[in-house]
Amino acid sequence: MSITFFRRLSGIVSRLILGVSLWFTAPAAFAAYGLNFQKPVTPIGHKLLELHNLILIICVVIFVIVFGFMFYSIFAHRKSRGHKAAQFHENTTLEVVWTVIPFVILVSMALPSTATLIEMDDTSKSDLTVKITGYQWKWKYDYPDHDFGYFSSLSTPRDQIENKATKGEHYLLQVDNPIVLPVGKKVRLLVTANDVIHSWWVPQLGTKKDAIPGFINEIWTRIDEPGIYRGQCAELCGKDHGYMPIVVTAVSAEDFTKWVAAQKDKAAADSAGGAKTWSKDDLMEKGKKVYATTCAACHGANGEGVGPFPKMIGSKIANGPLADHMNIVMHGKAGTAMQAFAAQLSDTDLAAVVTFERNGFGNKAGDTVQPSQVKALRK
Amino acid sequence: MAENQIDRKQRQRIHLTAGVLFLLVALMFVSAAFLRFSA
Amino acid sequence: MATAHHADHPTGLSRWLFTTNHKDIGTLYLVFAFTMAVIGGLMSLVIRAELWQPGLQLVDPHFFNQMTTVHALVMIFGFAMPGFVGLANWQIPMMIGAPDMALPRMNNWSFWILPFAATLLILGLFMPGGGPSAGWTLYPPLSAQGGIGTDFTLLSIHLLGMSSILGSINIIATILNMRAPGMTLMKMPMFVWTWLITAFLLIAAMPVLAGAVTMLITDRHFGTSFFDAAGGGDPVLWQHVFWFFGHPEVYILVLPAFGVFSQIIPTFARKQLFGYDSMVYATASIAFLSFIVWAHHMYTVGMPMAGELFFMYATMLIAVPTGVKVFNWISTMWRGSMTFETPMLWAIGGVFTFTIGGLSGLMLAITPVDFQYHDTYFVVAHFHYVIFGASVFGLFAAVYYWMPKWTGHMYNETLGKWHFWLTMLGFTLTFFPQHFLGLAGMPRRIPDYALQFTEFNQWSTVGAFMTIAAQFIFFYLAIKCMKGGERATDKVWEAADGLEWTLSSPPPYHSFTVAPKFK
Repeated sequence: MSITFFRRLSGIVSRLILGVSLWFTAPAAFAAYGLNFQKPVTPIGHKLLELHNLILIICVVIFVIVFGFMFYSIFAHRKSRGHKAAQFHENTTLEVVWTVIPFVILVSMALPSTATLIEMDDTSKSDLTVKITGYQWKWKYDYPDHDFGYFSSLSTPRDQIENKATKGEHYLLQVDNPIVLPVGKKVRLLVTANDVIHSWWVPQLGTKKDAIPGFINEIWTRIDEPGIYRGQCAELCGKDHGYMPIVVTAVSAEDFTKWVAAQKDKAAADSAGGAKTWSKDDLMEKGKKVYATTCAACHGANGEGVGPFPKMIGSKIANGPLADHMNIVMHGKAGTAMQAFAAQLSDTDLAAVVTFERNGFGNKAGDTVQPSQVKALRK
Repeated sequence: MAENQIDRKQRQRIHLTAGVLFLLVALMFVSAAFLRFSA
Repeated sequence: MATAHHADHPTGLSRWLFTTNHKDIGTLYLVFAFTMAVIGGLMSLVIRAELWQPGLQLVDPHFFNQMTTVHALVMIFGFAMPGFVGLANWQIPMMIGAPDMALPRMNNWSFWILPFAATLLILGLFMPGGGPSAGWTLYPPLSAQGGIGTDFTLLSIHLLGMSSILGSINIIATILNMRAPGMTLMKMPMFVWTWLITAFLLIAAMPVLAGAVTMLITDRHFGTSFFDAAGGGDPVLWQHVFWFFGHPEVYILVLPAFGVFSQIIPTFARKQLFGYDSMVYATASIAFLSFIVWAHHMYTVGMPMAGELFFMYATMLIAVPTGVKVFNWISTMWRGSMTFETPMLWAIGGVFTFTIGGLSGLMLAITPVDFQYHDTYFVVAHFHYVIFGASVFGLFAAVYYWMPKWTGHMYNETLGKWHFWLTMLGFTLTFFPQHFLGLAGMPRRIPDYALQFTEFNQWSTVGAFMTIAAQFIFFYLAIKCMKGGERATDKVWEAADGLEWTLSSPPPYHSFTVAPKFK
């Protein structure tokens, strides 16, 4: 190997490194052909992008050097070019060098990685706590500091999924009730699940944590700028694993305070609604909405059932004794995917959805259920 | 065919090897119950 | 010595059912493996066809999950592992100068368990509720929700495990006790070394999987709560036990392929393998390290930081002996006198694709950034580069390399080259874009995706169909070669070296009935 060879090689390598680093730091140039992480909006997110780029560049350099040698050899050391085989088969110095140098490179990668991990691990001194619970197949966000919570479900219309309507810009990445967080504050997120393992992931925040039933995981984030950030469930959790996205709406601290106040008012109104007597029409209207977000995934948008999950149309339970119907909705059915919705739905929601099931889909049970009846059943 | 037949000593060694490995298998099966690394 | 008069070379169905001959059993394993590859390949086409565009076009999400689950189980347990055991059966006795495996009757049983195991696995798909759909990793509580199809799979896994364990005991007993006089351990061919080490990995790891699967069965049916928090258990316990098996398992898939590369590259470079001793030590180091890195599959479960750091460091460390092996292969090529027949193309291609997968593996090893890669298509790209890239390319390399020896005929070299290049192109088109999909934020195991992931998914789908189409060339070529073709010499390849090349092509049904002289 001559001096010219090495000079040429290092020229190629340095030009490649420059090109590659420019390429990866200009993600805006690649719209739909996203080649790198989405734009980070938290300090940790930025650190992760830098760490990723560093490691990627090291890997690319190693690749270029190693395969530079290999492809050169394939070109030059071939029988058809008349090259005769040398007969060496060991070289202790070389072997020591190429054991030690990779080791040193690894240490240099491990140091910044360790520092970043330590920083990510520190959830102390947070300004706000939010509890995130994964369900099959939606998320629940509770604000224990402020005593309210709500579900967040996919809001992409079924038509779009079934290719009957054009898909919107945020297809599969839109929800009815996003999680709302203040910018500039350290937010502690408690992550758990109700049924199977899910995982809460928002790429731009740089946070991913598994949501495990019976256990609570803790992460933290501090969002730099207001905006809407989208993510998805990142652990296979059943048939609609691909249909339970996460949307974070980050707002200024003042807007957050206003939003919290409005949510608390709404929660109060909901429980007040539980005390009054509802008309059948009102129950049916509310029930229809609850059914669509909570029951349709398994029982079908039109009550036709899905796969192994039973139909609403002509259902023995929906047309049978009210007590049995209330029981299965509130307490679920052991050994099946039918969950206990008593904990998930309010008295009003339960009353409405059962009324809807008993009087919709061609069912003729006739009865209406009042929120106060549900409340009585809870004791 | 006879010259490279396995003799008694080789047979015993083969069975000893197989026996030890079976024990290792049983040990690993049981170890699954004791594997702990608290989350 | 008079030759025996019994069925010296039996024929017909009973030959294949009752054979104790390592060559016949090797053939059975290989035919089984490539049949399973077809089934697994078809499942991958269902997956990629659905992922051609956003929206649900062809299958419902529950069936899609069954496809991803069973595709992986079939490819890992039905194709890759039996394929390499087939190679071990054919080659190890011939390479060490032994007349057969140490325990020939157990060898027969090890194989014949497999068709039953495979039937159970596939049958699960037709049961009420469908087949297993929790991913091949079967994480509870989701896997506890599955119907009887899941139970079929769990029993199938027990059978598959038994087959592997018995096969490994046989391989170790053979290698340790039946080498020709003069063949010390440090003079064995590398393929034999890598299989010896792989067999130990199998014996240590498969029973642990059996234990985990048993606990899942009892949780599902016999009232235990190993993995159910409500009963005092822990879903993460499954992950620890499964991956304690799972990580050595991936080295089980790859080490025999490394052995194949170490046989082929010296032959076609006309130069001895560089650094034989360090290749042995590196393989042993990789095997040892493979037992202490399992939790890098679980960085997001919420382990204590000290644990995460330990697993990060240990995982990064595996890069060192792995790098040594890659450097040694390239040094074998360096200043050799190379020709590029089909086996050499597969071997070099395998080293190339494996190294790319190894580098993405290094990225995945790093815990904080893994939080962004975990459970995305970046992981899918990584493991296909290492498993398809090393194991499958290694299987093809081995078949092309040794098929002339087994059949006595040369395969069609032009078709072989076409098979290689079309597979290489199709494979790259299928899996390289998936790195970008993962970085851009696409999770894995989803049947439908957000619009910004469309273009790379389409490239990937085109690539998948191309790759599968290329395999028709292989099946045509292989069958043609078994039936006839240019006569193969004993040595087949100009610079082939090893005891198997001293036998005729094809070798006698019973070879090395007299122990060979080995220097």
